[in-house]
Amino acid sequence: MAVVNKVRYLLRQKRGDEAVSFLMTTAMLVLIFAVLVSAMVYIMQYYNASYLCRRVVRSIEITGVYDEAETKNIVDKMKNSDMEDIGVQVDAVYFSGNKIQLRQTFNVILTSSYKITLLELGKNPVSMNLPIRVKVAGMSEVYWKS
Amino acid sequence: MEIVKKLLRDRTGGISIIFIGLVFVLLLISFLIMEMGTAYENYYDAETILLRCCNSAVEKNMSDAYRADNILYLDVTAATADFRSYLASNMPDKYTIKIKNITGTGTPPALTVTGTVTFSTLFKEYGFDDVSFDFTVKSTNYRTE
Repeated sequence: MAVVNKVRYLLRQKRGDEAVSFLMTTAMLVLIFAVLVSAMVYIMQYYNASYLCRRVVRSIEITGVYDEAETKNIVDKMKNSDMEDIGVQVDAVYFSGNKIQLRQTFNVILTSSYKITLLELGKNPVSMNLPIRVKVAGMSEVYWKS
Repeated sequence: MEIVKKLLRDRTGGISIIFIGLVFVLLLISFLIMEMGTAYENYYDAETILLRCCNSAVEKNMSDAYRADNILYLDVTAATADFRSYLASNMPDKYTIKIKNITGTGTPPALTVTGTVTFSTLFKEYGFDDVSFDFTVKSTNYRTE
């Protein structure tokens, strides 16, 4: 009974309520900041993927050829370790072989995923895979004679 | 008046106001960074289209008759006309392009275009001017095959 009375007394006390409020507000602020930072990192990964995709498109535009090995080389050089399972798909109407005729449009679709760690408890972190999909259109700048 | 004075003197809820202010500042900074990124992407996009138009115009107007003898010759008049035509058909409406100068040489084949690209940002809603960048795109061709 004495304990209950003590708790009631403490709950009625208004002293230090600003400190409690400050602590809770700070905790909320830290949480919101962490969520915002995580969102920003994901957006940055999207920007990176978009930049990478545009570089692949420019390479195909300038050479007028879709060279799978060259594309893989560009991706390997520019990708960062946070992006996983990068796939590049090129949709084009080819003039002959892998050559794309002057002013012929094509699309490059880059797919990937970004692993975000939500909680890190010991050796098994709780993580989530967020998908990344970028589609960029291009146009060949090389004239191929028939 | 007394009520307002009392409210201003009252310290209760001060931390909540600071909290809301901090969240607002964070969101504002995030928004500014994202808008700057978008402006850079727009510029890159416009420059890519300009380069594409320039390269395509040069590539299309290389004279094959001369090329067979390993002589490179560009029809500058036709290349200039094609550049303008490609620009009109490929450049999205959100960009305003002002071309200052188009110069070209037949041999060696080269076409250089200078001008200004202008596009609006979300800040236009708050009275800010559109963003303008000067550009110079140059295309040369050395293919003899």
